[in-house]
Amino acid sequence: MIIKEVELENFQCYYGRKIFKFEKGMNIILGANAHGKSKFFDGINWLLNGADHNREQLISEKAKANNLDFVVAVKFTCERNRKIYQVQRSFEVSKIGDKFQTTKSTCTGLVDDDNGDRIPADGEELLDSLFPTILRKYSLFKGERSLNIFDPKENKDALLNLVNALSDFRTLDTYVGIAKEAYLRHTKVLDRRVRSNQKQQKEYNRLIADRDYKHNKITDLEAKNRSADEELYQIRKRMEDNISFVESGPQLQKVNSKITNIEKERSELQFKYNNYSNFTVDLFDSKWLLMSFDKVQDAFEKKVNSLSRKKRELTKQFDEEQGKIKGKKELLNELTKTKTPLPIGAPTKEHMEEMLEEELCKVCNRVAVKGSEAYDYMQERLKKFIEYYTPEEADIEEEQIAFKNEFIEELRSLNNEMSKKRKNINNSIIGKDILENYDMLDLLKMRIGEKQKGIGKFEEERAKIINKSNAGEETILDAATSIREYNIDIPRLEKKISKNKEDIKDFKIDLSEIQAKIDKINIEEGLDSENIKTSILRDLQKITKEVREDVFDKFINELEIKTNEYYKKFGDASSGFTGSVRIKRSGDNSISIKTIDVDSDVDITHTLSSSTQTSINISILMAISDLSIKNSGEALPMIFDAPTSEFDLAKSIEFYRLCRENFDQSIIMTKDFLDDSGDGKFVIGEGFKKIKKDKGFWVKLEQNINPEEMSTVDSHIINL
Amino acid sequence: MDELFDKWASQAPKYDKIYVPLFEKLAKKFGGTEEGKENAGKIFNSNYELYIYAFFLGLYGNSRIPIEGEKIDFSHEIKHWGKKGKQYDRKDYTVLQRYIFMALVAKTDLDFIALENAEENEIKKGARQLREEFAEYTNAGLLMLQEQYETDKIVFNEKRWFLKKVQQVSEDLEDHKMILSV
Repeated sequence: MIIKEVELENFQCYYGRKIFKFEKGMNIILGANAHGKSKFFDGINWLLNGADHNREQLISEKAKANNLDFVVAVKFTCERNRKIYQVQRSFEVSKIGDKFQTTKSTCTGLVDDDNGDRIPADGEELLDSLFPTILRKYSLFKGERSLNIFDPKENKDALLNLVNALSDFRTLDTYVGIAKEAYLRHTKVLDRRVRSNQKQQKEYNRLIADRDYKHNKITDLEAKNRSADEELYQIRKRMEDNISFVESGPQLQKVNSKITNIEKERSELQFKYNNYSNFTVDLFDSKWLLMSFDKVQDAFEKKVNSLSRKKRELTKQFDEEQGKIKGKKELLNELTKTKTPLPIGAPTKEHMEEMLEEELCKVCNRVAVKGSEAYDYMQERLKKFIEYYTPEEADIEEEQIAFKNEFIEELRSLNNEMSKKRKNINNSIIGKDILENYDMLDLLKMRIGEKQKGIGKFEEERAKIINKSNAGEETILDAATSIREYNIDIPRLEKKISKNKEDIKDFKIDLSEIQAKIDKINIEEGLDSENIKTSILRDLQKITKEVREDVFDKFINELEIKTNEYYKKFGDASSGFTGSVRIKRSGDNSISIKTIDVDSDVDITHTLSSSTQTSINISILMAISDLSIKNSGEALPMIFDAPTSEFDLAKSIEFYRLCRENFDQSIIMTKDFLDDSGDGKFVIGEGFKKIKKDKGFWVKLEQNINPEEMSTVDSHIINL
Repeated sequence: MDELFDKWASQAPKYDKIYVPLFEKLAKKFGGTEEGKENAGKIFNSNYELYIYAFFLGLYGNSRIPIEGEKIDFSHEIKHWGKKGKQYDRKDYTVLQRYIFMALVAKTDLDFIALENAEENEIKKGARQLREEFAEYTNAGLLMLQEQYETDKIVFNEKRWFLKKVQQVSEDLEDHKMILSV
């Protein structure tokens, strides 16, 4: 079947009527993200599957903005056996007040009759005939994930359905049923006849029940052994590999431990480096902001000293003018005459007492022994000092002071305090600190570089070990543990298989004895000829069952061969995966798809890259398409939305080539060949010309619209 | 009676409202860990850090510019600046308050002798004048940063730039042989 035309009318971003005219072969629809590719896919999907619950979301916003009554429709026209078929799914939209109301969707069809006239047909029936429901899931694919049609989590019976649809399996299923029914009917008749003889009935019933029980047990044990055999085979294969890995294990562990140690050292150095790089923080915490403060502090000192001196001068003048206490004046005059005296309290009371006790003037650094003039002078000065600070009551009342505030004393005290700090905080110390910081950073940078080199060296060594052993690092490190586990698993499985075999043997002996007893009763009852019939019918049931299984196995075998043929064409070896695909029956009618290592014939257990997984999935689809053509003479068109986003350019090109060669018709939506010209506009890249195709389209949003403004959105179709 | 320093440090200084975006760009509004600061792409851990930094740029560049626009503050008195708080990865640098005060005293033309006999109102006025001069040096520093932001803001991503800028401003002053005047 070939899709000739798809028409979208007011469907999502397609405003008005937009028509895609397709060709046999490969059709490519190019489009940037959000320009309408996927909406086309959604349109086909809606037409086929007809979800009717969220019609509102299917309506073109532009149609809503520009029309009161209109139709939303998807119509496709196809050709099969030279006849034209048309199916349309649509609903009507009317604006009532501010709201839009929709009718339920309907599906209508038209078919060409022999005279070339078109006659109406039931749309849903026509769809089922053109696109059988069972095969639709092998025809429409959105993204890479949906290509994994046999994912057991998503689609448990997918392959069984496919085998049903594309082989004689279903017919044979009927024959198996008939043969089973015939055998059961015959044995029931026979049983009834034997049971009619009261004498034998009890014994015969017991034998039949026992025979059935033993028979079931044998079947069950044989199945268990098949699975245990398979498990044992796999474990032994892995065991062999692991033995070789174990040899590399200690070496790898040693290298890893070295890398871990160096990485730890590097990380510590990096931590230090980061701390030393906190320049802005150090401006405050290490007081680097004071790097040029010396001159400011000098200026402050100078100003405070000047203010202090000035205040003392003014105080002296004031005191003189006020006729202050005579003693004080005398003392000051004695001391200073015309010079400005030191303030009272310099040296302090404590200093004076200390000097008297030690008989040493620490102001002029001269000895002042008790009784000497100098000693008496100091003693007299201390006395005056004490008197000065213990004024008589009358003095207090009368005393007038020159300045009532002591801010200059505050500044002097601040100056003293900060002068002491200059030892540690000054331009040259901070400058040195900054330079040392820079040096430390250079040193740390160099050491981090050295550690990095060391890590690189050991990483190379590690890579060599891993390459040599041809296995992943984790596998090598886990090898010893795995071997220990295998050493427990292997004897356990062997014991289990052996025990089952013993049991099977015993059951078979029992079974033949029971059958002999049943046959004997039948002979005694004159039913020996019936035994022959029973045997024939039993064989017939067995044969039909085996043929059915054979057909099933042949089908999946063929599917496996064809899948691997396509898979090889993909040339996936470049991605590092060299295995092949194995499709196997696992259990009753369920299928497992595994990837195996070609050389060792062992299952590949690690996760495949998404590119490899996509290649395998597409190979399976191509194989199915082949089998479909072989079975029914035609295949459904393949419709892919963005199937190659995991592929590199070479693989994408290969994908397009294989699609064109292997599918009767394919419709592929992609953004692969569109290049962003830099200003938000797109151009078709040179690569598109190199792809052999039968038809190309470019869907793009109308220019000069704001994609955020939904009521203006309209996708256009350009035939390329 | 409070000391002059206490009076000066008892209020938050002002800055020009036009620099609000600069504060938002360079400084975190609230405290937090160093990691938090870096994650937010901010250079300074608090608004007042940027304020102090700008002050030193103005001071070392000997540049004072009165605020012409609307005056605002971030309601955080000077006396709290540089306290360690919850930032375990930082050190206390409250002593910078004293250095700033010293610089302002050194540079101001405030009459300290007159202040020795002044009444409370006059003293408050004196403390306010020192805060205003603080704001003027900062204003000049903020202008330097704003100009940098407008011409080449990429440099703000360079960790050493803010350190180098302080060095450069001081050296420029030396080059021009501009002597700090008392």
